[in-house]
Amino acid sequence: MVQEINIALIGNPNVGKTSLFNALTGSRQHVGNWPGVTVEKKTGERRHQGSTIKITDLPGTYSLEARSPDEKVANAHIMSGHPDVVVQVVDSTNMERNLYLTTQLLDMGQKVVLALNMSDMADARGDRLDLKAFSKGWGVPAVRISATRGEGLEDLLDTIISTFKDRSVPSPAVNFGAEIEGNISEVEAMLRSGGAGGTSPRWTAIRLLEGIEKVEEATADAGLRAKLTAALEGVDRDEVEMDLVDRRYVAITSLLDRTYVRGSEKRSLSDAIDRVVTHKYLGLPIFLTMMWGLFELTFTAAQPFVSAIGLGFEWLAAFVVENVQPDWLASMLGDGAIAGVGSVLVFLPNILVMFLLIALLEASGYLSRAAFIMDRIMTKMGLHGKSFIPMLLGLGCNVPAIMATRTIEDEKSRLITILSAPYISCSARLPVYVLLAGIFFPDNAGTALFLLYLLGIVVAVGSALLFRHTILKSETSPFIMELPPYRLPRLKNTILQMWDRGSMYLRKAGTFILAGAIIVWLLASLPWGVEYGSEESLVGAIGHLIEPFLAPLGFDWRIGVALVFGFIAKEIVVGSLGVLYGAVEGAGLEEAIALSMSAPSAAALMVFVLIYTPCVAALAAIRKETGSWKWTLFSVVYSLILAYIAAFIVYQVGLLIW
Amino acid sequence: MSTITLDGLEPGSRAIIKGFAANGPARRRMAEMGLCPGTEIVTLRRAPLDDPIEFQVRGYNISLRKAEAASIIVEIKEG
Amino acid sequence: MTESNNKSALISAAMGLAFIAMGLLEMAAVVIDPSVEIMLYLSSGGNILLALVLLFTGVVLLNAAMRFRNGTDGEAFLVVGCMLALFVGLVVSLTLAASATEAYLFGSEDFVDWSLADDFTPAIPMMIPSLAVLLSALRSFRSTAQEPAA
Repeated sequence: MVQEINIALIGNPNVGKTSLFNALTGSRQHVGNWPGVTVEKKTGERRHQGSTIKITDLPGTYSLEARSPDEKVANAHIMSGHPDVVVQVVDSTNMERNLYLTTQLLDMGQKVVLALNMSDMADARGDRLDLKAFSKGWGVPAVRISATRGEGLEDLLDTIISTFKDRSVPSPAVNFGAEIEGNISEVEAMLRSGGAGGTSPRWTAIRLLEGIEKVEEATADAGLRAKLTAALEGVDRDEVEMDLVDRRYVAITSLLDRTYVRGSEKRSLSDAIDRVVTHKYLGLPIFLTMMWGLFELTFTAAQPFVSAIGLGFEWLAAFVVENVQPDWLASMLGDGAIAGVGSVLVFLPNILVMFLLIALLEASGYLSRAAFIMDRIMTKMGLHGKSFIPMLLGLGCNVPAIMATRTIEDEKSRLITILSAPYISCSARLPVYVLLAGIFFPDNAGTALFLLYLLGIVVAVGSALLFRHTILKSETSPFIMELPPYRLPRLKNTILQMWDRGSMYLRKAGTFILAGAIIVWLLASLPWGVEYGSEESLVGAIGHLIEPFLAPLGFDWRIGVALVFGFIAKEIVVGSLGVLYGAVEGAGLEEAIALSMSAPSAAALMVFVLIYTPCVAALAAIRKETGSWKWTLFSVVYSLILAYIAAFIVYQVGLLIW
Repeated sequence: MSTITLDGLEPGSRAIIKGFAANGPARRRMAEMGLCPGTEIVTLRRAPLDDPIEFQVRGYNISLRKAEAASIIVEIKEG
Repeated sequence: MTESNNKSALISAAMGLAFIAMGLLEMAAVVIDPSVEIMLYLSSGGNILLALVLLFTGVVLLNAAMRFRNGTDGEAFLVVGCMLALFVGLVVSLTLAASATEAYLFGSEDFVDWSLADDFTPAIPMMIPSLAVLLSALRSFRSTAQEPAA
């Protein structure tokens, strides 16, 4: 009979946990979402010696007691998921801080196996570890591995199985001293007798003493609550907290002193590169160069693929229109679904390239340097060091920009970045600007464009500051970040990561867009027999409905309709105008527009397009990254209001000038 | 031996952490990352705009903003 | 000043000047009429950002040269300078490949008049010496070089 072993993979960020996960599970992995959170959940499996090992990859964390969403997820999974064995991936060249997590796992009463990764680098440096004594020290089996080289994996799997079979109960590694241990025992006893504390009353007791867990969360029983509250009274939480941390490290130092000798560190390449990369005068330009490269590659080098996909969709649409009966179905598929979905899928190459480059930057370690360099500027703008890349990407497309905010761990900063990024003018809006500026401001077209982009940046920064000081008020979030040594990224892992994120974009954006496109098509085609997108159709009706609201901005019903279509994807705005004016793009459309619009209304329209609600794909990304409809809705409402006010001002002032 | 806060140290200085000046969630986070009383910390370099600052502690590199570093009391290690 | 430092200073300076020259040419291409044929091969058609990047790479390399003369940390700057050179060359090459694909494979209308020279810049062949110099500069760090991981 096949034995099933459930293990959880845990470890600090940057220790190569993902490499190990990939190496162990190969293609047998699945990516989903932790319920209620935006953090990805990865599970996979591996057969070994007749057992099936089911692996859940937990988010990289430094501790299981702190309050960030990643840590909560990891902690929750271990407490409720009851893995049989927890495998902690440790960076062998950096063991002290890594072992902190181990002490916590032992307090939780979990069986732990330590996978000492990067052992090849430790050897190269001349580290010496007495593996046997080390494993014996805390009773935790340790295996030396190198995930990227595939070394030690068999050993690790063997050890996992033997640990699973081992009946002995793990004991805590740290003695917190008579007083605190006394408190812990007291609370622990109460929890046990009350049937609370789950699989680890000791751990729950510790969390209660530190104030991380509330009495109400630990038990529903009123009597027990009262007892606990009484026992916890008079406990100086801060003292206990710091004391616990301190003692953990004392225990770690003691174990390492007995079993480990660190190799001598001569001049390191990583440090040398850092001296240049964070250099007072050269640091920023180097960063800007990297960003330039990122930009060029994402939006220029990927272009052929974009064209290819575009052509593919055009062909498909034409094919459908010709060969599908009945007509309405052909139209729905061709003009609606395919055109709609196509206009967004066309972005896929850009997005994949961007994800690939970001994954490379992340894996190499440069991203943390970039955040290090940019932090001060970003903070002044209400943002965070790691907000710079999303903002920059927004110049090409807001969708990857929003998804790139994942690198920002601090929730509030991340949210602010997500809500402010859409105001950076994306490339989809450019056709509208070029068209209108060409007609109404032919001599100053370049300046007009420049001003629009500038306005976008001003609005983005302004919004960020506004949010930071009002609705998302928080004390400046701390910026405590590890700067791992530079490493050569492993192609396989990077591509897997790129594909992870890319396929999510495909799935989510695809479903939203498809639905949206069909709705728009319906509105433009009903009632039956009406000319597509004309005044008599539903979409025309909607246009006339909102016309009075748009009049103060100088927009007529056609503009209104085009804006509604622009909600799906901003590229569609110009095309829709063409359909609505019944004119062909180019000279015909330009004439039609020149006749029915004026300079002030054109200016107002450009500003409106710049600021108003992000396109559906961007909204889908916002929804995904924030995990909340509330903020997505907020983004829509806030931007609509802002756009309205801005366009209004521009139009009214414009009337005075022109 | 002088007692000052971490943000005032020049690149290249070694110091021993003595304690924290202020309470707050950052304090706990920093301690968990290894910045405990008695730990040796080396100041490596500052960002181009002078903030944040990069340190070496317990064998790895960490960056802190000046504000956070200002809450850590240290004693310079002479010699 | 040691013999090898001397040599390194020279190489860094040579490369640095080459990149400065390329940067200046690129800047010039912004204003000079592109029909001047030689310009087509020496620059990529007047991309200001590219010009700045090339100039900056040159600055880093010249910096390395200076430091070799002073004996302070020249290797680090040379290594980073070469990496930048490779990076720029790579970006430009890929952009060229993309344009070529658009022009020849797809026959896109925007690229009807395009020819290889339009996007070609000396930064591309410069990748070869840059790589060579980089590898030799890395040797001075070999005893503690970080190996591939992650």
